[in-house]
Amino acid sequence: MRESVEPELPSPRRPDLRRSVFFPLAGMVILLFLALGSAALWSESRTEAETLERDVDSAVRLFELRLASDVDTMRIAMDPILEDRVIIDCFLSGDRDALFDLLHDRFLALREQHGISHMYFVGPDRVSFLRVHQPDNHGEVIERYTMREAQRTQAVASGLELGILGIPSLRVVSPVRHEGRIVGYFELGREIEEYAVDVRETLGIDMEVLIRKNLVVEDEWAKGQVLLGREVDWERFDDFVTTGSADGGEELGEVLDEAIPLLAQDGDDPARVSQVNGHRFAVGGSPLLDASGQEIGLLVVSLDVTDSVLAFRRTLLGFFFTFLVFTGVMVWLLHGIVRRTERSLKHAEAVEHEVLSQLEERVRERTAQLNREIAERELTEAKLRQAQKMEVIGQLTGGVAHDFNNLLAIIMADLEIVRDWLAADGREDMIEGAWEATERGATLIARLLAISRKQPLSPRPLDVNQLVAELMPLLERAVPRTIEIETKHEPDLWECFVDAPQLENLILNLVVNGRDAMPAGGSLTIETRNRRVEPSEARRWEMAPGDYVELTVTDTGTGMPPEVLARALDPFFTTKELGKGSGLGLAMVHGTVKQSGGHLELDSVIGEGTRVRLLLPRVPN
Amino acid sequence: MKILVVDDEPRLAKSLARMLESKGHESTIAADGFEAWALFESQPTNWDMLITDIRMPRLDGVDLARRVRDSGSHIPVVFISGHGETPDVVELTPATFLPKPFRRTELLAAMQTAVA
Repeated sequence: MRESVEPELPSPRRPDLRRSVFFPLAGMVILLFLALGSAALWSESRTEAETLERDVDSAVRLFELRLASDVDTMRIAMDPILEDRVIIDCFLSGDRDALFDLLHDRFLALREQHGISHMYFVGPDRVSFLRVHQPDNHGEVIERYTMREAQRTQAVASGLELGILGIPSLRVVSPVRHEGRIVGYFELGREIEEYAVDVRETLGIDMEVLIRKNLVVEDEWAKGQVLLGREVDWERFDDFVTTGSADGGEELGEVLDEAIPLLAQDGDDPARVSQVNGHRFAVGGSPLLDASGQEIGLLVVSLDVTDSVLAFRRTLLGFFFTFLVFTGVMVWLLHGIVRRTERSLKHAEAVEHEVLSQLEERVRERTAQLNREIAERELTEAKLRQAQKMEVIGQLTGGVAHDFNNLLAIIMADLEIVRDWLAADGREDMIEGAWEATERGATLIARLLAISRKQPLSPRPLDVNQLVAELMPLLERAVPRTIEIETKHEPDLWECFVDAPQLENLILNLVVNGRDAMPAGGSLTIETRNRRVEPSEARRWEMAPGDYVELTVTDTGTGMPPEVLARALDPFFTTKELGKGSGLGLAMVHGTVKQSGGHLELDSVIGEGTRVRLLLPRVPN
Repeated sequence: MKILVVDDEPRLAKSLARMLESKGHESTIAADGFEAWALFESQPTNWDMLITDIRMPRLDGVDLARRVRDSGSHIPVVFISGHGETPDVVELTPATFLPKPFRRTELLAAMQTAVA
């Protein structure tokens, strides 16, 4: 059972590149940039916060610097006075008016140069002796920290002191020494409202001093504010009051309104950004400590960061834009790559498909070829088996035929004797059946032998006439008496190359066929002739031109119709019923002739007979 | 004629001899080539014809005929054969082949051909 091989090829599933590559990659790129952006943003805002913190710190530091600087200034300013014997003697004498006269000009000068607003001479028991700035006010004990500290340490003490009006001022107190003893104290004081101005001018930062409400008496403070020409609003903030030390105007006020409550809550966090009038402000606060280290209020610093915020926003926008453009470009590139990859994938797919279909084609072809080869091989094997069978048969029949012929010869010989005996009474016909049967038997055996004989040819130069003549007895025995065999010989027939047994077999086959075609009798003619084949004929018959021996066997039998004639030379083709003919005869004849380099021609007309013409190559002398 | 008949099938040899005798010939039978040769040698000039089967044990018909020829005898030889083979015996002329089975007339014709 032959099986054709049909390969089954799986169709490859192509991944959707867009989904599996492009989107994830694009998403990753976007995410990456978002991450970077966020990081940059965060860093930026941190820097922003740090900058603000720094600015706040700078403002506070500047404030403190001013304080310290002024302390030094005041101390230096004190020295000339403290070393002036006249002044000291005057102080010691207790002559207030004289001291005033001595100091007044210096006080004015100091006020002019250094903004000194207070000058005190105080007794060793801290009883105020002279206020140069307020000569009529004297005689009370000064409880201020700086004074007490100076007394305690017997050294210079300085720091901020909160006045009754809620306004802090800077005090420097120095012990007055005379002949090694402390005879009193000398104090200089100044307002600090300049500092805020200084900060504003130097750093561009607004500063406001706020004082805790609980350290200030409302009425006094209100009085002070009125004096300064400021608005009085005790309830403005919860815990603090303004001192109006900075004149930031309404704007600052609004900023403060918003920021102070926040600052009050969270004193450590310096920078808060408030939004006022379309401007953004960074507000920071630092605790204000007085000389004793007590927290008396807040130094509030306000910085207009609108520009920097704007700048930041611009940076942000810029970054965002860049990001957008970059991402856009990346995505576009990616898309291009993906598209190209998809295209090349499609192309590869097409190629693959092509290759596969070609492969399939080739496989199919090969399969067909293989099937053909198998069929051929089976045919060859069948032929081989047949040949082997024939060989076996040949070997068998070889031996059997000999013995059989012997037996037939005995029968025939004895029949001759019997016939003589019957002839005496004219009764030969009694053994006619036995006679013919013996002859038939001989023919059968001869045919069997002919069929089973080995095929390898051993052609030898042969005279066909002689061969036919020698074959005649057998031929005559093969046909009934109703058929007449005629021979027409070419007298000087050329010799031809032919294997004698093969040719005999051949002629026998033809004669037998002729006999079978003439059941009612007829004539069989065997002719031999010398024949030259011209090139044109040769080409038509597919043989070499030259000299040939022509042998023709003609019968006057029933003939063959065209369709039978066409198949007459096919092996195993026969019109005879089963057992009456193998169909090998003509095929073998044809094969033999072709093998010998000859040619066989078959002619037949229904009702008239059949002619078989053989052309056998001449042996050159 | 005095004919030496050689065949390893005794019944056939006998029938053949009878056939010959019916036509007035005298025949002597040998069962194989050896026996035939012995008979021939003993009286080489006695015989007029040799009729012999080809396939025989010990000494086949062709070799027998060769020996006869080699001895200088030119008596005609008729080879009778049961297997259809016709070996090349051109050098053994005069000789003919007669396939078995054969009619008396065929035998006589063959003998005639051989003599001629």
